[in-house]
Amino acid sequence: MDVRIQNLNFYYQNTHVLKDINLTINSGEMFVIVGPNGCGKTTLLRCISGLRQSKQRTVYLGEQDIALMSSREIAQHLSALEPKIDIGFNYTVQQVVAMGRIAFNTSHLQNQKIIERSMHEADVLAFAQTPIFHLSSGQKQRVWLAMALAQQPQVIVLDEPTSYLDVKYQLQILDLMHSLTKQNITIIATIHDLSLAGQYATRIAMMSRGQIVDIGSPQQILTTDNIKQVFDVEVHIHRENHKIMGIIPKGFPSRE
Amino acid sequence: MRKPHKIYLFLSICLFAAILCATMLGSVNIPLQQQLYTITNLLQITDIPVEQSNTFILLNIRLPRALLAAIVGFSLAFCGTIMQGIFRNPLADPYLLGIASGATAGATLMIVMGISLTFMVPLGAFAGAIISVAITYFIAQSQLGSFSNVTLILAGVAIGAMFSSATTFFIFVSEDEQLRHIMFWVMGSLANSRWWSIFYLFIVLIIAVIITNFFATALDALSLGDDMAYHLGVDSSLTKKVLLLLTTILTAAVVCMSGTIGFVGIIIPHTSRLLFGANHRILLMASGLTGSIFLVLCDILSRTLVAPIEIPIGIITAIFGAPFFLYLLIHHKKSIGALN
Repeated sequence: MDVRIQNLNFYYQNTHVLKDINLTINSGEMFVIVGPNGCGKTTLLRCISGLRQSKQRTVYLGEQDIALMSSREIAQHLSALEPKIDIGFNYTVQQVVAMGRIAFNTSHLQNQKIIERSMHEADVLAFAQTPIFHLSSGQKQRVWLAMALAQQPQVIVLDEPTSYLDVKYQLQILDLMHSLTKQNITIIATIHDLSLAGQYATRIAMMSRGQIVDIGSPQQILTTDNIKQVFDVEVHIHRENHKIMGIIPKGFPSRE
Repeated sequence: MRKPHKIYLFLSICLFAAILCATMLGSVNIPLQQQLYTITNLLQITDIPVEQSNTFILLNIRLPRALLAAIVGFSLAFCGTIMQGIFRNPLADPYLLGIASGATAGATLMIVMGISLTFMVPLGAFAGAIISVAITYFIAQSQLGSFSNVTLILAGVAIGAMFSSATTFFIFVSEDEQLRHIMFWVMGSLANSRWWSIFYLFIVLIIAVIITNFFATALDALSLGDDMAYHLGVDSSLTKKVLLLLTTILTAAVVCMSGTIGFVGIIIPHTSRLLFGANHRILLMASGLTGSIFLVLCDILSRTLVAPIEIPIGIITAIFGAPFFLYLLIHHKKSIGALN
């Protein structure tokens, strides 16, 4: 499913948080948004998921105006995860993943199959009956992802999905995201690690001060000049066959 | 044990046993056999002679009182579970938004004004409860511009304090006889049980249970916070408004019949969550039934421990409930919600 954003402007109190955002994210794309803290990435994701809405009609899921859709209708097409999720009570992992089916009227049996498959994909099936409070932050992150997958979404919006994860699970989650794009699912994510963004993204949007400063392939966007301009950091970019293999700050690790 | 029908059956049997004990025990013991004959005689199934005084005590005092205890206990635990679910706060209880203070102030005002008609004092309590919560909502939404959990709780605390000070003033200007009546509201009591009040409360409770059942999964989603609940397809604002309205009406109805019985609405939901899990589809009913059993047992103790003197039930709920809850807390501290 395509996601289209037209002239999105968003104000929080009197601050102009998002300025004239225009984007078309294609079906089956892994679209990554990068930018420094406070540049508006999270707000942009929240506008895409309908959680924050500007006064103008600006965000479209396929052909549908998100402003005219209920949260239930949106949840039937799009799943989203907040950057930091706290759960109030000690549900089992399976019960948490089952929350991904709240917006659907499917049968219990069908739900169980979907829940089990989602837990399998996110590699949490082994502790399906474990209370969520007994899990590590990384395990919880995978449980939230399983919950999002249980919505069988056509678009997945993820704000820093690899935070809290060790390198193995970072790669596992991103590999999973990558495989979902093969099923024509659109992934929209913010990722702080530019190397990972460069390796996994189909396209990258670089944001600064509420605006998109550049959009394109990782090779086009993740340049030393762009990174210097937006992050104010000088980096070495390690490439093999034009593909970005790593982005390392100059002077690392001592920075002398 | 997580199968809902097994949990409900087990708790219902326990509740039935507790009610039988409640109708049997007291200043005069009424054996089970006599209770059975009284009921079957009443239903015109048998015609076995039983002592008239026992029939009177059973049908006009013990049974209505035990049933009132069961309904009040169910309602408080049920509302407490909803409030903790909405606010994701372990200290949330049915009285969180100033209901108890409002009800007590309303009842106290009626008593001090000398309006002693049977239904006027409960009516004052009901009106006080509704007014206090209405002001809390109004201030949270219109003046503070938010329906967020923190805003509601803080507004509730402020309004509760205002109504409490009003109650203190009414107590200050009251006469000795009025003061005794006021203590009923402050400490809570099940002594004023009447069949009509049980019927009225039961209807309100059934309506609340049926409507809340439609929002059980939404309460689960709210445990992830309002934003995540939205992503899962839940209208958290609508869910909160409906459930807070139901909780307010049910709690106000309970308080106007029994005064403010503390502790049940905060401890029983936690205990039930530990025993039966956090899933609201099961928890709401399980917590309600556990609350019923707990309050019926507490009422037996309040009537019999130092008979013929009756200990205020609020004292019993705290004395016997707190150690049990502390035991659970110590042994299952990792499982208590929102404390991690």
